[in-house]
Amino acid sequence: MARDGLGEVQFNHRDPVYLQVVRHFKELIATGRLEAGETIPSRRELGALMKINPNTAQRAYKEMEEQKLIVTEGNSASRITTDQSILRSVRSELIEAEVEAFVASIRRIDVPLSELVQLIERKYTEGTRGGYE
Amino acid sequence: MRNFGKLLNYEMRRLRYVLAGLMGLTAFIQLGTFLWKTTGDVAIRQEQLARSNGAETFLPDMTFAELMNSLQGWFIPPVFLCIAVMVIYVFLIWYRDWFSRDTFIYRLLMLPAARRNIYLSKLSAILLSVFSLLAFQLVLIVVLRWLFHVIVPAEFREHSYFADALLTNQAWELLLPRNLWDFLFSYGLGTLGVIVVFTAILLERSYRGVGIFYGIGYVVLAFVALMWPFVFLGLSSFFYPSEVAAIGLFMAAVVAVVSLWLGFRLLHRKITV
Amino acid sequence: MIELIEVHKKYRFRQVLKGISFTAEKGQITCLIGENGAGKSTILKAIMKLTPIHGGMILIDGQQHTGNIYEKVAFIPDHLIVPGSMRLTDAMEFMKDFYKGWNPERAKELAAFFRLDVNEKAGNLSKGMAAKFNLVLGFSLDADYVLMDEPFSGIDLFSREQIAQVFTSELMEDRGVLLTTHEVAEMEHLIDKAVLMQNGSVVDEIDCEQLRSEEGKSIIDVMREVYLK
Repeated sequence: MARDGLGEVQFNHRDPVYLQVVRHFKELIATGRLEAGETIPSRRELGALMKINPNTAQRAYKEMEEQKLIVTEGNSASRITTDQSILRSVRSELIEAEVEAFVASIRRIDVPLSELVQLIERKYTEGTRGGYE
Repeated sequence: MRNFGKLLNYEMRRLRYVLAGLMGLTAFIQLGTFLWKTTGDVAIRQEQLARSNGAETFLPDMTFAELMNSLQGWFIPPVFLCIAVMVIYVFLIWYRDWFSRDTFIYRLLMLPAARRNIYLSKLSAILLSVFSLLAFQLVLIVVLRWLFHVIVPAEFREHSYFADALLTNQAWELLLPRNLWDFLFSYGLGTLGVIVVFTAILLERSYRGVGIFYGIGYVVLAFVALMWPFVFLGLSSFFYPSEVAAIGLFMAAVVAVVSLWLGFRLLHRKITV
Repeated sequence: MIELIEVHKKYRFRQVLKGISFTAEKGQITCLIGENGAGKSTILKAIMKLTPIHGGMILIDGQQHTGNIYEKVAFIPDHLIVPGSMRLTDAMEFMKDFYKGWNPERAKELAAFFRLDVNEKAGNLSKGMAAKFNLVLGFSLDADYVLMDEPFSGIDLFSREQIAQVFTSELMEDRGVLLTTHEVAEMEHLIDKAVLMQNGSVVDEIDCEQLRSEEGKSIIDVMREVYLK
């Protein structure tokens, strides 16, 4: 299931590809499609799955290991960290980034904050009532 | 060495249909016309004999040599065709690798084998083909002679020497020399010619544009180098003819060695696809 | 590493390569970018000694490439160099015969992956299939470096996708790949280094990820700057 998620990325060519890979992993973690402790494909497989250069996959792995997103024990496959604090911070990092982007774009339209918050509440509840799994 | 063998094998395989075709055509024409004439001549004699009630045929006995003589008008054209095809192939064996859709020369030049093997295998392929054709012709003549003995009844036959049969045919006289020295001379010279032409071709392929002039110039130069002993020294009274011949032989060796060396060097450093 | 140092070449009276210098590392995918006539194909051919150079040096793993480089460097030109009448399986036998580094199992796997009929004659292949077979011939050699001349040119979309898969597979591991292409957009996220050429000179040598992280630009952005000045 996670493998499908990995193949979906469209890369933009202005940001370093390996960072885009890391970001994509974080999204998958935040949305729960990648669970704590779940094994992830090897560097080689990742290259083929995401259609990237094996070097890039390598770099992405390194970055994720440095950010402690993934753990590699000896020669076995790498896994998503089980460290809850990290998982939470990934979530909040993503949420904050999305909100920041939203705020930046909505600020251009002059709308009072209270009205905005009401609109958000309404849209949010509509959405959840609709097609929630 | 093994690479040379593999390349030679490859070159000969490319030629197999051409050689088979040439041999087949020659056999067809020579056998066909031979059978036609021989059976015809036998029939005439039998008729004559019948008419004279077994007394005489009034016709001379048939000899194999005479038959070969009278048939050469038919026999020689396929031989010429073989020669023409081989002459063309001396050029084609290189140019086909450049101008075919697959530009096989790329592959040949990128083989992990010394490039001189390309040159040598093509040279050997030409020589091997020529000698195969010659051998085939000889075998064919032997077959014809056997057929002669089978078809022509003894009373109409007279003995002739095999060598005479070869002599009567003008083409065979040239192509199938009777002694070793003539053979070595003719075919040595022929091989030298192929070597010079090969190097000229490589000059053309290395320099493009001007290359064609280099190539032609080289052939002229080689010719002059071979001829000068005979033209200059032969006329003077200083040297015995055998000495002039020795110098000529030496020049031939020089031309051969220089051509090969130049050809190899061009292949290694200057050739371009 | 393949290294070109001040390589010059003239053809008739024209300077085709004017002091070309760049490197292509092992384990990386390096892309030569430039319009037609910029000299990209010529560089690849010069590295393979298919055409002479008139100045400068070409070093492969630190050595001037005299002698036999053909087990170490494989070249995949823009057309299939197999005689039209030869079957694919015979072509593979031919390679096996001459090259020590030929890997027959990999050849079979690749041919199967590309869905090629090995009993077909080379002359009957479509352009896409011919390009794919070319890749089979190039990558089935255990060569350290693979040079590719316009691997995507004139190929249909689906064949292109299949070919692109080669670049993300394990075939890329421990190999240095140097290719020329026009189709930069398709390849952008795959290449490690881009060498931009114009009129026979190297205009820029770019580490792609560095470009993206330091300047937030894509290769195409740089190309626009360079070529549309």
